[in-house]
Amino acid sequence: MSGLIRETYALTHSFKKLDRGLRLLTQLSFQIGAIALAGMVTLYVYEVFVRYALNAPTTWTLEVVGYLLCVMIFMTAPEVTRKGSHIVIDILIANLPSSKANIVFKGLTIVSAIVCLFTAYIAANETITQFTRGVMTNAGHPIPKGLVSIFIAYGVGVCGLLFLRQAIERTRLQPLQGESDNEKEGVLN
Amino acid sequence: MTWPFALGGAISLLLSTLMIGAPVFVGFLILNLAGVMVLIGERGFGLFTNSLLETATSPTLATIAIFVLMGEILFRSGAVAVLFDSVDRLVGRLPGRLYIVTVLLSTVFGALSGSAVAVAAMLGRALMPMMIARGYSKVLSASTILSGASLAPIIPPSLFAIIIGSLADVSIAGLLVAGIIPGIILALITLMFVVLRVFRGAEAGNVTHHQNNAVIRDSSPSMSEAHSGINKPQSVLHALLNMAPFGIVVFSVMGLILLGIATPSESAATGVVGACVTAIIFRRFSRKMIYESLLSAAAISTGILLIVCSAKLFSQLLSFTGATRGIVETVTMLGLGPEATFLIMMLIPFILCMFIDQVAFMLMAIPIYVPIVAAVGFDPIWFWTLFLINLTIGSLTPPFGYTLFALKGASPELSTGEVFRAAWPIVCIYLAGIALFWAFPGLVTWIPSLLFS
Repeated sequence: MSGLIRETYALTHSFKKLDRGLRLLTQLSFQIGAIALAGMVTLYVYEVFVRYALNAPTTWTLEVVGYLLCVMIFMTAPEVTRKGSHIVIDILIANLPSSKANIVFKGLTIVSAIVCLFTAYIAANETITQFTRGVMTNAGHPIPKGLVSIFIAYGVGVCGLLFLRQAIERTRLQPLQGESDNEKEGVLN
Repeated sequence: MTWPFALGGAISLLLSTLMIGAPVFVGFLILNLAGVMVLIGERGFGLFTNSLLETATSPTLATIAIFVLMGEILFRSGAVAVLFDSVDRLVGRLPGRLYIVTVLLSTVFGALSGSAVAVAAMLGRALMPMMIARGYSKVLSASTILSGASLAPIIPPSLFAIIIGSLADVSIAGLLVAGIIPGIILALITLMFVVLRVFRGAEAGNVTHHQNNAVIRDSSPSMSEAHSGINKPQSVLHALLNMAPFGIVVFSVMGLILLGIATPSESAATGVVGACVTAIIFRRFSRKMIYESLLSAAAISTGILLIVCSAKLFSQLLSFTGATRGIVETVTMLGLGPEATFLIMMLIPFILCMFIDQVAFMLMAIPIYVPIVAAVGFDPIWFWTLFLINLTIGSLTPPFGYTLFALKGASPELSTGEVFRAAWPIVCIYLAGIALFWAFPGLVTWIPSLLFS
């Protein structure tokens, strides 16, 4: 019996450590996403300046803005998932009793986790293929395509883990420490 | 697999996953993964990843994120609060006056951005909290934002008009100017709708000036700080002076486009610089404010852009099954008269653009529509302008529509039901507009005819 308790404690401890790591990763990614947005603004303003003030337009800013957009979307996506702020059509759920709504939420987070993890798996495979075959972006200044698509695999993968974590969390009696109010109430959006 | 079966199955799957309450981007991922597996098999997974990658690296979509950032900075700097307060003083105590301001602002930003999604997200972030704080109806406020934002692809500069013009081999300049009168008429009909609703008393939102201030002080310390600075003298001149810094934002977006200095995408970034200058003038500029604006804008726009990325492949899969071509060809084979043909040609984009991206639809449908337009003898400028308005309605019609998702994503205080309720009157207004332009083609063709003469 005491062995079972020790194992449960060890599992809970490992889960908490993993959870802290995931949260740290999400926060770090979010900061990078925000920096990418700042980068897009800076590059566009720089392009306007060099084109009209110095009469020296660049040929690379649009391409880099595109890459930064990809970085922003997939580095910020985990934070959007963690906060449960994805856009949903909540008309049906809003009209369900809370117990049934919670069951539906749990089912949805499990499905979302599976879909995101599968998407990440596909994207990761494609990224590896791109690296091994030396596929470059179709641009004036090509770069290895895998350097960009790796962000898709990462972002969607972390989203999948976070959905999985939310599904596990809904089965536990007590929410983990430091969660947002939304998550404590079991509210997706 | 026949296209009616594929189309029916796809729409049923999408509807059921989204209506249960799955995140919209997950719903589209499920649909596209299922579509790839059924139609292409594992070989199609590369196509799936490439579709995500191509959409996520499209610089045009960066405009959405940057416009949201501009809205964030304007909101956090208190510029919107100051603008609303100044208009309050200029207009007086007319009930529901800020709805009118919202329609006008939405129209101006719609005209200068060219992207309905970007404007809906930006105004949803910048204006919606102010309207709610001042006791205005959430639904009617959302309606005014949706209406103004939907003018973006209609009033020049319009990216869609350029795409249609180049694909249909119609004068791009003619198509651009053809949108001016319809855009203004649609804005005026929206204003009439708002005035009617307000005078019927249901949505007055006529809280007094003192109540306004109390609400704002309670709701947001940052707004009240910005607000307090303009609460002392009550002159018209002072109100105008307070509005002046906002002109910097309008100039840095619209002025630079009109002067040919910045493209519409770049103008979003120069608008951010203008918003920063405004924040400096209002003494609200700080590293913390910019940092918070960046984080918030990244999160809001990611919620929207993830959907756009996930949805893109659906258009390609529909094309792959032959559904898009099949629908259009079926209509042409019916051999109907001009009125019925026009009705069906408008009904197709209206329905399909609820589900698929407008650009993707244009790329697929315009080459098929062009010979029909010529055969029936429609005026090309007139027809393609109405087609453009119709595409916009598709993006505005519940339950699917990027503009709706953008507003919902930017305004957490709005429920999906409220966004849908807000959208229906605007859909009706735009449909009434199409009927009007159909009955009086001169409203569309008059300015282009001046241009060509």
